[in-house]
Amino acid sequence: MELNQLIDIMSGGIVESLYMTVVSTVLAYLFGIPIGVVLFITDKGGIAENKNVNSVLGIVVNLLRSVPFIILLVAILPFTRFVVGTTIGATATIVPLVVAATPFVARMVESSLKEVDGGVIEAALSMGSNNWQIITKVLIPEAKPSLIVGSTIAITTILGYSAMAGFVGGGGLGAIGINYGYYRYQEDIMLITVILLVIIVQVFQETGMRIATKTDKRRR
Amino acid sequence: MIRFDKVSKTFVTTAGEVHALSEIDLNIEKGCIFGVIGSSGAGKSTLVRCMNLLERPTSGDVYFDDVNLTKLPMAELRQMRRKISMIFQQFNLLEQRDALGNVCYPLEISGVPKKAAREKAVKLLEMVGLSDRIHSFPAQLSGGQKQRVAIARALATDPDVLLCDEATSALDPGTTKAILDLLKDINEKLGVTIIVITHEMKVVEQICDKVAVVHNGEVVETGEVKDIFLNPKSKVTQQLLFPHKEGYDMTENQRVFRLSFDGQSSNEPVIANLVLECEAKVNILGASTEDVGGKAYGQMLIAIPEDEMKVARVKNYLNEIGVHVIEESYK
Repeated sequence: MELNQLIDIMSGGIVESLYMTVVSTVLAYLFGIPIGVVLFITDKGGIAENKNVNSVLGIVVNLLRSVPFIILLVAILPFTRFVVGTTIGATATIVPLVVAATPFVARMVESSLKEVDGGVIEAALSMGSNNWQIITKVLIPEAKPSLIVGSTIAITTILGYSAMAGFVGGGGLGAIGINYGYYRYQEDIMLITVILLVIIVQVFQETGMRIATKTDKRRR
Repeated sequence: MIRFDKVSKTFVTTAGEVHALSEIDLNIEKGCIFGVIGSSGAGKSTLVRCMNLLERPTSGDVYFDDVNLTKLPMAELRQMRRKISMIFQQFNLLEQRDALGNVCYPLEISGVPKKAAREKAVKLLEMVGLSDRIHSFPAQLSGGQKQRVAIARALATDPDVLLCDEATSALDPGTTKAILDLLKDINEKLGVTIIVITHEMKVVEQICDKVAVVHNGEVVETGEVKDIFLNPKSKVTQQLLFPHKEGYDMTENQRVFRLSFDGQSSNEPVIANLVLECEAKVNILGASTEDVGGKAYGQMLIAIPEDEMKVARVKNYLNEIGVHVIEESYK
């Protein structure tokens, strides 16, 4: 294979992978933050304690989280076709990625919110805050550094999931690794895709941690 | 200002029911500094949280300015809470906001425009002596400074009442005094009624006008601080005033008595007479007494060697001269 061709394939793969990962992460957070917040506030001792809502939502989240991604990917193909009109390519991969990542993100958000000191919430209540004000002005801002660390973990996990989608016709680096490396025994190409994935994970991880540390005001 | 009518609070835990408060009646007058003292687990924190309904009483009514808070809808209760501010032992500041942002918070949630809120917050921070730390984050402030920010924040909504839940318990003695002076100042200048929850008698002594002694979820004694100090009626209060220390060497057979002086002549040498009259070897373990206008008030712990006859004589003698005496059990 020509070097030019290789670079073309790889850069295309990187762009597709990043596209899938970033869009899926953003969407997963769009759905995951409200679910995580509801899980937190309806929990025992929460500001809107509600055992029924909490248990039902908790069970749904756990169910979705226990389905292996590769099975979920295939199982929701009809849903994917309904949403984006196709089951092949990077855009089609975003649907199962969001479905798989949302419950995961919801739990991450919930655990970040649990780190907020209960005394601060009590103080906010004592000042006459309503629940919406507590969520938007206390819980989320106070949990921000932890939420950013969580999103770093989420985005790298989603990148890993997106590579799996290569098996069922998804795009990105994962598809290249499988198509060239696995099916055509071009191990060098497989190795390159793996190295690229490792580099992307490193960059995400490092950037996320730096932003989290920088935004955290709890340092002296 | 704040009135409790038979307020009870029962927590249901896995270990069974816990009666944190039982049928508490309390009346706190406008403009005073009211202390609530008790040892840990006495129900003080629950009591103060019933004043702004952070804890809802299981039964009974809480009145604020003759409005029954327990009957208010949530939205109106939130409005009321802006008039009943609170500060805490652990300060409970927003860690991701600077001092100014923290003081702005209560103004923000009550819809005060940003600029007006900032101006007011700056003034309040000046008032508590932090004009040079306006942009510091809580992590950059000392305990005393954090409590000052919390006080400024609590005053932002122009409250009528300030609840202080062990507000100085995490601070060193010097800082405690400074914070208490600030609270007293606020009470005098702004006319804010202050309710101080504490386990330290010193705090009550320093700033409170009136005090309620809480034990096992009940108010055992209430009144003017001076009266309670000089003439504590309940055993709980006596213990709080002059705690019975652990660790006296009790190897010898002896019995310990707590004497309460409530107005005997301070010129009379009570202990010396006791020794001479009863021929008992009295050992003074500790005392906290005061001479007010020639009269003795306070508490004293004494030990006498184990001897039925002598002990009886000592008790008789003390009863005769009007000193209240109770035996302390050390076993």
